[in-house]
Amino acid sequence: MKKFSLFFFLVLICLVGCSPQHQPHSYSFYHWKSTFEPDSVDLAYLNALDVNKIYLRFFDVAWDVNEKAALPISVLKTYPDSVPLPCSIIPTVFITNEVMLKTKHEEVEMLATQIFEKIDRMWKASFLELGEQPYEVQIDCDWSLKTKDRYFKFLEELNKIMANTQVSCTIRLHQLKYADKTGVPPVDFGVLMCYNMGSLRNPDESNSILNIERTQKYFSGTSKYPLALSVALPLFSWGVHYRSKKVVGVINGLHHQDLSDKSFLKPLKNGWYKVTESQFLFDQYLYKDDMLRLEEVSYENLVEVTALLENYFTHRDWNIVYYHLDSKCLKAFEPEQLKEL
Amino acid sequence: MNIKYFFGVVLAFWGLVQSAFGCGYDDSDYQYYNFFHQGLISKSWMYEMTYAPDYPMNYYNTLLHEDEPVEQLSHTTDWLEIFDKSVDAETVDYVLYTLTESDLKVIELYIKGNKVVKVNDEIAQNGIVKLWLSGNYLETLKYLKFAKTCEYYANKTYGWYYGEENSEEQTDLLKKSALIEEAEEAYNKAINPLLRLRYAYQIIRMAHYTKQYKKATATYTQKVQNTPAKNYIYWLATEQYAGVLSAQNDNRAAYLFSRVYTEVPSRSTQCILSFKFSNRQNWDASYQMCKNDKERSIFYVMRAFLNGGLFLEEFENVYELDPQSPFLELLMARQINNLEREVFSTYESPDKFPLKSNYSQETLLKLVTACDKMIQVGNHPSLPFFILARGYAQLMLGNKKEAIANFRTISAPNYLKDHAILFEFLAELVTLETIDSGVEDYYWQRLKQESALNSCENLHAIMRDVFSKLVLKSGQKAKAFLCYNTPSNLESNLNLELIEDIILLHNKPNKSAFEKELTQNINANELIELKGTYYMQRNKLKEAAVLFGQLPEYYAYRFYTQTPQDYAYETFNTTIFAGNIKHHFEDKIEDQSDSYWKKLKYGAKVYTKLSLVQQLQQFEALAAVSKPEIAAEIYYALGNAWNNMSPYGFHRNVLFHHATNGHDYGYYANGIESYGIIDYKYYYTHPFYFYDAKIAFEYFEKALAQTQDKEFRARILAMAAKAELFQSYSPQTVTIDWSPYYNSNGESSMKYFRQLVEEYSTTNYYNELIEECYYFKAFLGL
Repeated sequence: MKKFSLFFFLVLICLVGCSPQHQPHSYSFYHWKSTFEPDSVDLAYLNALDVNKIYLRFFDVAWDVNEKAALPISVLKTYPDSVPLPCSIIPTVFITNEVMLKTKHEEVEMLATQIFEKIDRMWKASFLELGEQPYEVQIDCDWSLKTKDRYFKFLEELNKIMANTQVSCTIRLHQLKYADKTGVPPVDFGVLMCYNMGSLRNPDESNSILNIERTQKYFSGTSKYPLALSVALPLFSWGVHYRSKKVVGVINGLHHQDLSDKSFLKPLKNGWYKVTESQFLFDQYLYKDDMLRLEEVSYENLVEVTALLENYFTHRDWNIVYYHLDSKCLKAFEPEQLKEL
Repeated sequence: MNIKYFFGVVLAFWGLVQSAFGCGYDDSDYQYYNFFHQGLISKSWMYEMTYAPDYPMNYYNTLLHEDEPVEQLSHTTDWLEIFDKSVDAETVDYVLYTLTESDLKVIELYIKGNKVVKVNDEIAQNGIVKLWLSGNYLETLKYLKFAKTCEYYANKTYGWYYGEENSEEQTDLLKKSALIEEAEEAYNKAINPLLRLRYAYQIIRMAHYTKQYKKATATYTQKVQNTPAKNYIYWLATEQYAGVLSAQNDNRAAYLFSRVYTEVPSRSTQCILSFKFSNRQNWDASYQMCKNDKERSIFYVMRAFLNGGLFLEEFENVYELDPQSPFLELLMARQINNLEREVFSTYESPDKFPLKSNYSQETLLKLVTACDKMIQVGNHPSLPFFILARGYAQLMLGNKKEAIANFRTISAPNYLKDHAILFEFLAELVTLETIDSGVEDYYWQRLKQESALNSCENLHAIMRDVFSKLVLKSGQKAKAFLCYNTPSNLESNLNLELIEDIILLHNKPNKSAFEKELTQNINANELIELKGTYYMQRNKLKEAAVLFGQLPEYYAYRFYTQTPQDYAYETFNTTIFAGNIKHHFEDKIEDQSDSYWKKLKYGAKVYTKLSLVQQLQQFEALAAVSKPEIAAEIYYALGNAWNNMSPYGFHRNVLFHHATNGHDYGYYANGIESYGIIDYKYYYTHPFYFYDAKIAFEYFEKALAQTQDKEFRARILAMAAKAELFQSYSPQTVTIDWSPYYNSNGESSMKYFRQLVEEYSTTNYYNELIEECYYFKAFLGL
């Protein structure tokens, strides 16, 4: 994938076409919290699903306005000794698109080095018993047409530096659908993020996290992606706080059970609630007449989307990465259900 | 003309405010007009409070005036007290913020008379060091050393080692516990009560961070709460204690955060972030702790700044409790700013213009009513501020006359008077219906010359918006284009009509002052080159040659470097005619080209843009009169040239295809699509440059028609297949089918490639292709 060739894309299609038949999925989890301290609930799910790896967010990289440079933020705190790890750890780094937009082309190599070195130090400080180095690292960045070049160069540099480690990256649905325009990142494989597919800001949206109809559209007529893919499926939920048809905020981890005893919320159709009296709800102040759209993902939704994915991935293997390992998210699903997908 | 035109103009140009025009805020995300500055609030001490978690306004506004300085509590004020005001603030700040822990250790040895230790003059001359040297205030040195150690464990340091450096130590509870013990011992020994208070603060802080809440609480209640000194460190200790309470879901936390917010503006950001309530009961319990209406009003001020807070609603609440509250200005400024953000936001499309929505109208009317209420008080200290706010609200409502009447009543203070002038200018500008050179110059000269106007970069931007819209209505496309662009922006999408319009404007005699401003940096040669390249892109070589002939020789070849403004000038060589198998941009084209091109002995080795066009013309002419085998070679070379000059070729710079790899993506700077200067429907579906692969196909077809040499035909077909591949990336193909044989209609989509594989697999070249191209080999299953 590192060199461009005349028949490169054609060949990939051919190679993909020659892949063996579909095998049962393996399961992984994203861990997107700032402290890695798996509790008994987490461990029960990891064991029940025979999870083979955790994509552990090590840190984010954001643009620092004052320093005018990319810097790590929200660095993970780990307490590895407290928990026997039942699976592999894949260091995962989220990079804001702004970083790619503002990092100069000639500084991309340095950025790759800085990120590698930080991963390396953090790995050696906490996960050395799993090996000298991770066998895979993952980069998450919602690149755009303007940043594609720099981002792909960054991935190439990372590939060079981490010669013995696989590099994977996240792929958004629009990047799958419009691969001809957005390009195919130079990595060993991708994780297709099968969520956040709708418009959070659109008051006519029914569920911006997972929408079967829209998923169908993303896959309909879409060519096979010239890169091996796993698929990330959502387990999370939230409430979208609206005022005058505009989004005011998002209340993370909100479930319908949390709202059932709230007298100041009048349930309407399709997950909407009207605020009848100004009130605080999980740190968010809702003014009278504001609206709340509850967005949840059910097991049935996941079954439906998985069927669509099976269809798209005919003759190709694909694995599932659940987003994310958090007891608030997990409580809506039984381990057996997640294992059936 | 009604004033809705104001918003019509603004929204037609939403997103046009480029960073260069932003009011001092260099960020591409800044995409709305902000005329009602946060800096208009009268109290400078309040300025730090303009922060809101969802939108950090104070990053890009500066206070527009200086008022009577009100000394704020800070470490400096505390330390001046500790040193009995025997030193000045600068001396204190040097010791607090410049000296490191090691410096202090060196100073300790120095004052003890250690002759090996030397300090620099700046340290030696510092008033506090001199005090220490004379044996005074020595316990402050001990404390400062200790505080620097605590700082190391308590504060986050940003950088690539952030979150990991000495992580074991940083999370080492034992170390922090040891610091607590050390502080307790020092507290007991310290003589100065202000230093004792500081040691207590360190105990609470370390206990908080190590979750020793009982220890923190006991220390606060016994050593801090009843201290007579309500200084900076007292409030910092209170904030830490509030954090301890918050961690235990104690309702007292919010009340204490509100107290710290009021007393120490520099901590307001942190206090807002910590001001949290799960439900109404929490709010009520905390609110009931307030001792008077002033304290109660602060609860509403802080609630306004929470995510999603309604400033106008909280304004009413604050007004009811404390009509003289200085925070009313702050809330009003934020409310207007929120409206500007909504009205001028890039996320809105013009058909959702807020003035058409009941919400904004309603908010604006409420805003006017709120201002009226303040104005009716008569002698309110913020009267001019609220008159200005009311005028601006009227302007936003479309009531130009009323707006101007408000602005004209403001005679003092100067910064508000200046802003009233600015608003009146704005009201006149955005309601212009037609424009001529006289009008252009009137506004342009005023903007340039009047200090009240010139300093507002948003005003410069909106003036260009207004002018651009109006001149376009009268068909002056070049002027409209230049309001936002330089000619080099045309490179990404050459448009002949626009280039010729710009040439006409550039050559126009008796330009208006504004036209001179627009054209002052235009280089006539650049325009000629753009026009010539337009023709060259379309293989109209005769026209291109005439234009390139007018250029100086150094315009041979503009090589793209980092930015569109930054070019180097180079010539280019005959590799432009090479048919290379590999296509690896990191290596030189010479190293991966087939050897065949070296046989071509026609023409110069190094070309300028003109001589290349001439060479292409000569090749065409020569091919027409040559024997078939020679003609085939020439046509093959010409096909290669068009491949190499394509957006995917090594010589893509020749035709300005250098930015196709995501640098710019073929659109002009903001605004143009709104005007219909260019038909941008095409751009939206195909965000690439003009590129016509048919030119290359024609030459390869001609080459194939001239030769029956199977080896050579294989070579030609391979390069034609390459053109097919390039075409598949290009705008001409609406949907790309990755299939090598058939597109979605079942038609052959890669006919040259297919022909090569099916008919020429026995040729040497075919085998060379397999050897040279790993992917091709793999594709064939070899």
